[in-house]
Amino acid sequence: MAADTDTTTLENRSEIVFLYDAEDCNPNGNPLSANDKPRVDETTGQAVVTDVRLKRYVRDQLDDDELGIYIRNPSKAPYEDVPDRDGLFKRVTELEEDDVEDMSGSDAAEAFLNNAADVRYFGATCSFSSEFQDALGDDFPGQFIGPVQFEHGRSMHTVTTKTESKQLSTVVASEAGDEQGTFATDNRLQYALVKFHGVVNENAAQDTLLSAEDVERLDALLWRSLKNQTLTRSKMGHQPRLYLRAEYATDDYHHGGLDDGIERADADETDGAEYRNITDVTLAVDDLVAALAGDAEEGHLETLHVVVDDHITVSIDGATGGPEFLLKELEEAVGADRVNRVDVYA
Amino acid sequence: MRVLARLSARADAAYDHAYHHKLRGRIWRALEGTDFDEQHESGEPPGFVYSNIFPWGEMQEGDERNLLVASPHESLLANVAEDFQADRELNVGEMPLWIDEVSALDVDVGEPGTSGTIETGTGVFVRLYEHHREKFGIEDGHGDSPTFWRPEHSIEPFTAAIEDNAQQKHDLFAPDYLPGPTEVEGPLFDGYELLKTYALPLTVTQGVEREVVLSKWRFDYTVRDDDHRRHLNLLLDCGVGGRNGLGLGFVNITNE
Repeated sequence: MAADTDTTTLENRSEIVFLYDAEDCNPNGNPLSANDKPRVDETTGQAVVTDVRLKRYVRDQLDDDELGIYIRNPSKAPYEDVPDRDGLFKRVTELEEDDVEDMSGSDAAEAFLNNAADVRYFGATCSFSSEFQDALGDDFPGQFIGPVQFEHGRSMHTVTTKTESKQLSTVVASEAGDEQGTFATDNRLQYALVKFHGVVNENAAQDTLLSAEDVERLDALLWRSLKNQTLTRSKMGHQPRLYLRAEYATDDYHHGGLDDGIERADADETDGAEYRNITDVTLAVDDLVAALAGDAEEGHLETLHVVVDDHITVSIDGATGGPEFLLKELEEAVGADRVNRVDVYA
Repeated sequence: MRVLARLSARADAAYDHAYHHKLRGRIWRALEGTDFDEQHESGEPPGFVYSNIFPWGEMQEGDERNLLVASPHESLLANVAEDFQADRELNVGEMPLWIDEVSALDVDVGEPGTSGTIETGTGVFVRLYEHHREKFGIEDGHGDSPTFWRPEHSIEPFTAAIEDNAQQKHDLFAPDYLPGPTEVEGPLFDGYELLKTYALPLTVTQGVEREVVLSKWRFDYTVRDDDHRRHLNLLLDCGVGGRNGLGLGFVNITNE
């Protein structure tokens, strides 16, 4: 299969801050714990969500959008077959071994990347049978480093766990013979406002063919994935709240730690364990606005792509307001022409 | 959220049209001893709704049938599912059934921009109260008693009544800070196609039977925004109109 995606070379680095919350659910269970307990940092009391969890939402959304992904979710119907490693490649590219033999390794890699959107974003390790590896050729890379990297997300506050004895998924799952399922304990967090930080590296993008179009898609993708991929029972209760992508004009530059500029306005008075929903939290964003204003003034910032939920409250320089207040402050800080208010459903 | 129970008939049986009250009894029995038990007599929407035993029609031993139970409360459904698995006999009046399998389903009207159709699986129960009658100029001499909606009352009082009802459910089951159906611009549905109206003798409580007027509908929607999505999904979990605890107003997405 020839490369047929119209890729626009990615030239700019981006830095992403993404906030979402999880109300009365388990944002990221730890499979090594009893009953899949939520991951909580025992020292700080913060909930932890791995980058793998976030990327799973994105991969599932890409799959639903029929963009083609390499690492599919085995729990999502209607996947009846579980292909081997060679089969995964063949499925995503629709290439057979004979086709691959006739191609160079780099052409096969290009076909692979053009058909596996998740690998363009997040990379993948490709390990095939020795026969298939021979067919692909030596210049097919064994590993693609993902240009989109997220750190683990953390709640901005101490979380409170709650335990219930019944959960629909465990009750129903127990029917297949797993009697323990009926008695499994369902662990949830009362509330967690989780903050993620990520970087899109334009240099690494060359290796996975991540395009400017792909990065633009990411603005809606993260938001929509949190809306659409959390409607299952254990994840019901998630809402995206704030998305910022600072797209930089300067080569090899990113501010770094933009997420540190968002704090809780009442952080000195409470650890936040009493929070129950988004209306309990006011975000102090002075340092974020100042950092972006500085980047804009020095010519580093090209565009700030923003999505804001209707229900957030922010404080800036002692004044508080809702989403429109935040957007106006950002426009004032970096210039209105630099702020792109993303319509995720456009 | 929904639970799908796959059933099989344990004997030949005619379809028992008086199933509502009996099926309700079985679901409340499943909730005995749980936190939901005390809502039984509260008079508020119970937070669940269920389909009829479908497909409709007389059954022969071994025939396969289905039952769906929906609720915004996951733990309520978990209790129902657990009871269904522990006690496989499901006797609905004169229909002796066996529960073969219980599974969970997630339903969603889709993200903003999605168009589709929601169709009633059971009849919708809509009563027009005095404020509805005054607003829409309906005079039928019922005094303070509510009036069952009929086609001659026109569509507007029907839509107003189901939106008021949906707002009541939103107040009960959704977070306070989120706007309900009557607190936003725009209707619940774009299109209302009346399929039929019919009268049904219904046992509302033990020994009390009333003739009620029900209607079946096809509702068209295009999801406007996240609020609208939540409102429509809530109706899939709670049912449209009143008396959902008797299995009335159960709806399905029929065309996405």
